[in-house]
Amino acid sequence: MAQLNAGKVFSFTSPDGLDYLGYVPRTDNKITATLAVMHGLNRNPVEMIFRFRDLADRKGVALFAPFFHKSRFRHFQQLKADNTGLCPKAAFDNAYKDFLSRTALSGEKLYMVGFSGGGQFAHRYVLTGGEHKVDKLMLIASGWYTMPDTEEIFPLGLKTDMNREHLAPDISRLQACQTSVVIGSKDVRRSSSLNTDKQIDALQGRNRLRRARNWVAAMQQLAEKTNAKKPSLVELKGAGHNFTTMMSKYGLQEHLIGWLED
Amino acid sequence: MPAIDKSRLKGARRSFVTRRVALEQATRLDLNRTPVAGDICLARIDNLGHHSRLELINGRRCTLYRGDEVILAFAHRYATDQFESVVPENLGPCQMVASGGIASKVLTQHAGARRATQITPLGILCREDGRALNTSDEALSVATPLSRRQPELITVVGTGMNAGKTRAMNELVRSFNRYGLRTAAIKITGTGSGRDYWHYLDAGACAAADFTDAGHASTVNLTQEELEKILASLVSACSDCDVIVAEIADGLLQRETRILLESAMLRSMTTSIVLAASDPLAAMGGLRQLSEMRLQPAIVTGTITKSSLMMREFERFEKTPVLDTVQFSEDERVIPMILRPALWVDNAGQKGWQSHATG
Repeated sequence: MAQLNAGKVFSFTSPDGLDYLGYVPRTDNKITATLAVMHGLNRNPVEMIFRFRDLADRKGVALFAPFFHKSRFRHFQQLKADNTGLCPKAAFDNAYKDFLSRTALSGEKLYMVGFSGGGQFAHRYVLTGGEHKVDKLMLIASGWYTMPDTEEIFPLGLKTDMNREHLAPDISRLQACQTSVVIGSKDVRRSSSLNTDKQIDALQGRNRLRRARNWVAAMQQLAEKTNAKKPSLVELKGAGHNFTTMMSKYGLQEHLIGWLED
Repeated sequence: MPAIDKSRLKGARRSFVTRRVALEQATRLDLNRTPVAGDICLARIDNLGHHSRLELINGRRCTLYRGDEVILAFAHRYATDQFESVVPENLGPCQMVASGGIASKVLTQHAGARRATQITPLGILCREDGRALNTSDEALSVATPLSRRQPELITVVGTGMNAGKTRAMNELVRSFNRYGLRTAAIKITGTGSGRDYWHYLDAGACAAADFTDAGHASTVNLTQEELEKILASLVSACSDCDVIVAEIADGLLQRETRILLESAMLRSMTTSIVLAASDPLAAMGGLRQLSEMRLQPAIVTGTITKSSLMMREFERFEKTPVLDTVQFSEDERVIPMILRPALWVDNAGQKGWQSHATG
């Protein structure tokens, strides 16, 4: 059995050619949970995994951070396949399996946290039934969401066309997963990284703050009807759209620690 | 032991390697002491040779003239492309063998190097109580317990001198910084010189330190314990950084390099290894040497990458990626590649990882 270089960030490439970073904390306890860390469109899993190490050490969770390179998975957050037809969801699944195999971790629990485009990927992964069950989900500053709307085509809603039939989004999967949405109270800029599609604007709002509020409201409304878990919304006071400052200044780290403890 | 005039010391050129020494404590000049490594001396330039400039404590390289008085440190030197030298047994004429300010006695030299600059030590600088000033006086200590999680350590080694290690170090600093990380740069072994130190800072390192900060003018002939103490104190000094890029001087065949690479302390601290190589055969030899020590570099870089032909020759035989440092900033795959763990191969040839779960 491979023995692990605990306490060190490492990287490997999955058999599909997806790079990923990993971290296993030094602990005498058995590690039963992995936190999958999903980067945004700025594609910086490196900083994310470094900033999450303290958290991993404190809570005894392993970290897994896949790297969806722009040259291959340009629209990973919408689950669009690469040139070979490989869906980012399947690439994630195979890379995670590779990670578990190399680290000999049990994989009993999988938590997922995504920042910006990573949040988009994360909730769509759960919606479309990724191979690995996600026990907890946190969406941080997502640009936009898949609404619980059966009239809109995926990824905007739940309806699929013939190109996306295989994804089969099912809102009940997301409802079964305890979901927390985190957004900065000042994440209102329509920056170049924000998708400003008119339809998204009309259906969800013109900025990330509004979109987070509207999505959570829609999901909570649905949960009341279906007696499902309600997602929570946390607005970090003063935070804009910046992972680094959200962690260092606006309480995201503390919120994550609490979230893992719940 | 005669007193030494403060104004005379002030007028002398003070070399980089003495920068941490409390020179204001020097009040006496010992004319008879047998020098030991690290002792600080006042010396006179007799004849200019290979090193016609001296690096000062502020990094400026000043031009030397015959008759100049300089403040140097005694040390050994091991430089395959310059001098092999030792701390002399007395204060007779000897040589300045490094521009950072090393006084030493030359044993052998590279045929391409000019004759070493000739000096005469005028005496060892001492305190009022007779204790000699030495580079070890103000060495960094290990302030942070090593059991705490340390920054990720990327160790850069080379097939020899001038293989491109420092260039690799600088580009690694820049690359990690680009990902929003705080990156420090340290040099664990070598001969006292500010050149690499200033390069690291210019590249954007949030902190830079070398073995002179740990109290040694050079690391030639140091014991494993002394080398590990240098490593521990430099890592401790940079403990609030995310990543430390660490250079080990000279080549893989050099004694101190091998001691460090076989050291359990370095191996437990190292996240990954980068090999700088001068040419394909050196690179392949480097991989073999590392493999014998149960280590695997994440990438090969260095002056081998000056030639596409050399890179292609290497790639015909080896799978380890070879990357030009220019790619470090252009290719988003580079940092994940560099974080490949130093993989140990056990005696049976099975690849495995060394467990360090209990620090």
